[in-house]
Amino acid sequence: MIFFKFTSIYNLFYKVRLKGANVSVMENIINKSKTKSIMLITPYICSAIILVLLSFKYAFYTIEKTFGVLGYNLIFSKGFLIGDNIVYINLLTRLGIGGCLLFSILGIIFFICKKYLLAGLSYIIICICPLIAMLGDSLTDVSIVDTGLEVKVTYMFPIAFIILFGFIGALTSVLVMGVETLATCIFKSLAFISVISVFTIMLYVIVSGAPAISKIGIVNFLFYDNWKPSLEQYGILAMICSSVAATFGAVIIGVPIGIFTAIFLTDFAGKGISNIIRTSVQLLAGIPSVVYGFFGMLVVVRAIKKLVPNQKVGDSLLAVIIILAIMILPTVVTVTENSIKAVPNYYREAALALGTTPTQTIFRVVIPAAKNGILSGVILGIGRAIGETMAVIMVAGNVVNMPSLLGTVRLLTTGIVLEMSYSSGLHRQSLFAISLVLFVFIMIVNMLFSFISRRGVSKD
Amino acid sequence: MKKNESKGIIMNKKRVSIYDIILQFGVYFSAALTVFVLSCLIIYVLYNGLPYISFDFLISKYSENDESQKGILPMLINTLYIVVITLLISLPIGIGSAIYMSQYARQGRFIKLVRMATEVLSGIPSIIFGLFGYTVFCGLFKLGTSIIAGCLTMTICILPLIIRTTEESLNSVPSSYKEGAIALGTTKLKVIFDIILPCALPGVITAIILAIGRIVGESAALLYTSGMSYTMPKGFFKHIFSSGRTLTLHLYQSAKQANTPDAFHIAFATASVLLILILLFNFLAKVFSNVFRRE
Repeated sequence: MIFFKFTSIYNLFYKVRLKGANVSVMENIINKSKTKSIMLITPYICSAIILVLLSFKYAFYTIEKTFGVLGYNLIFSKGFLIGDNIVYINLLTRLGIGGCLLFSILGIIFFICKKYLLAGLSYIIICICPLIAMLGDSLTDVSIVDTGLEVKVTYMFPIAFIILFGFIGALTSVLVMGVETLATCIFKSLAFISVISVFTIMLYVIVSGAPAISKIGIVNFLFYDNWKPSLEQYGILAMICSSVAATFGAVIIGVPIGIFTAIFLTDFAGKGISNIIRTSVQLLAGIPSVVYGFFGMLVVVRAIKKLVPNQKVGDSLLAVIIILAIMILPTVVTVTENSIKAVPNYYREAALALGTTPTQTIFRVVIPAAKNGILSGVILGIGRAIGETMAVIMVAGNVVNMPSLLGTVRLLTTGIVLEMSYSSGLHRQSLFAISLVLFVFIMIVNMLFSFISRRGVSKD
Repeated sequence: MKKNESKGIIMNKKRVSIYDIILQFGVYFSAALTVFVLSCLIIYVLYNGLPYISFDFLISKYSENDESQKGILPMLINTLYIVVITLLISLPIGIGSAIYMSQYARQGRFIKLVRMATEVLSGIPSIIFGLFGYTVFCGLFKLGTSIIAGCLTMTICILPLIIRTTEESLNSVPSSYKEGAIALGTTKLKVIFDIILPCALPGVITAIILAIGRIVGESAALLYTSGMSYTMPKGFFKHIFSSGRTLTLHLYQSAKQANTPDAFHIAFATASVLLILILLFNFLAKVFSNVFRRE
């Protein structure tokens, strides 16, 4: 028992010493002097002052006459009445001031729990919150543009003091804990932003798309070919089929050309030529989709109109397919080339030693070995083709038709863009539902991609 | 015997099947086609567009009705605004998360989550970002169709690109640098800011240039967030909250509305400006990544 106690005490000291190695010189000074006890109280004082400040008149709204609004009122009331008009307080303002309240309480709680990092972070957020609120206030006039009233918002002293005390709280928390750990915390929260945005987008797409689907009925929505918003008919089968057909066609044309080009780069061309072609293919990837669309509109569409007999309009599924095939080329070429290069050299050597011709070696040995990588390139290309909007809109003709090679079509993506500006009500909701369908397609493609690329890795 | 043998070998080499010939033809044909299409696209646009690019075209205002005002200055300014503000927002986030991913995090659930998030983000089509920005930034936050709403949308768009490229360049800094510095008694933060980031700087710059290229070329995400207005900025900061079309959207609009040869000239000239900018950025990115690789 005694032995156990000794070790635990030793461990305790050891840990303390380890931590001590990390803290700044500043903290050593603080530890030695009596200032530490003062520093340990400061955050409480800061939070208390901020909470009191919120009960002051935070902002003055000038709408016909001037009146001040308390901080707490800004958080808990949606807006205020002026005559018959309701002036809604901007959401950003409410979020900002609410953040001050929430995080000043959280700051104390974290400090009591000795989670100094989180406390420091809370106080930093308090510093930012009034700025967010100010941003919201400056946009208040947008929200009451219908009523024709002019709103002027002026700020009072609390805002400066909130920032000041937030800063002091943050500073003390940092000094108690050390800058290093705070930096870790900040980097981690930055990394978390992309996670948050992905989940927000997913949630948003589902939440905004689901109501229309449930109102229209999933069968009516997905499996009927009658897109007539003016008659309240929302069947998107034609768009889904067109999207699938366009992507399929682009893959049929683009993938063989892409794979062959990649083979040319790795095995047929000299170093100089392959460098030139590689660079130009990479340039092809960077060209904006609008430029592709412009090119398609003036060259491909006109060519189809001239070359095909009895064709009155050039805008067609064929034009979409050609443009999409060009657009997925760079992805396919780059990924295929990399996966061919990753095939170990002794595969080729063994095959050549068995007496195959170089061409046979590539097509019978190397390509099958690089199969997984090539497939993931194809899937990336599919993802790009399904999601492409602006290039397609310029060459597709945009009439809702079941896909036929020389007929005009409207894809899922272009369906959203074309009617977004003037739609409302169920029509708009159904556009969001289209984006949900598109999102589901993309997620399936993504999952396939990660499945196949993972399988490729585990095989190696 | 010897003669026969050598003949046999030669015979064997010449015994190429039709299958082989077809495949070889396919390979050469495809490579030629790829190069042909690319050069066709670039030459077609530049050949038709370059004659109409003049200094006047670059610095004069635009008006839909006035024939004398067909310049692209407002679009250039809007594009610049969007590029700068988007980078200001996304660089700290992107580089910060790349630092966390490469220097702090251990392999675990959180890293997997962030990886998955960036992968999913990079796969989402830009029109969905556009819709998201339109409802959330323009609608919910009451920003309206404005440049700042476009910038926030673009921030989410280019985040995966910045994170991935920066992380790669941070990871490629030899760990001996880091270990040496830590052995000398520096703190981790100092190692990151004084040693790893400067060493990875060309990679980070490549990431920035690629991001600029992506922003300049983006159209679907900006169509409903930053809007189509072509007025000149009324105030330096006020312009951030007003709508403005970028070069890509201008090309889209002018190509869609064009019905006279004159109108197509504007579209061609805009497309050439856009193409030259993009090619320039890609070229710069390549130069910087080459510099990085050599080091």
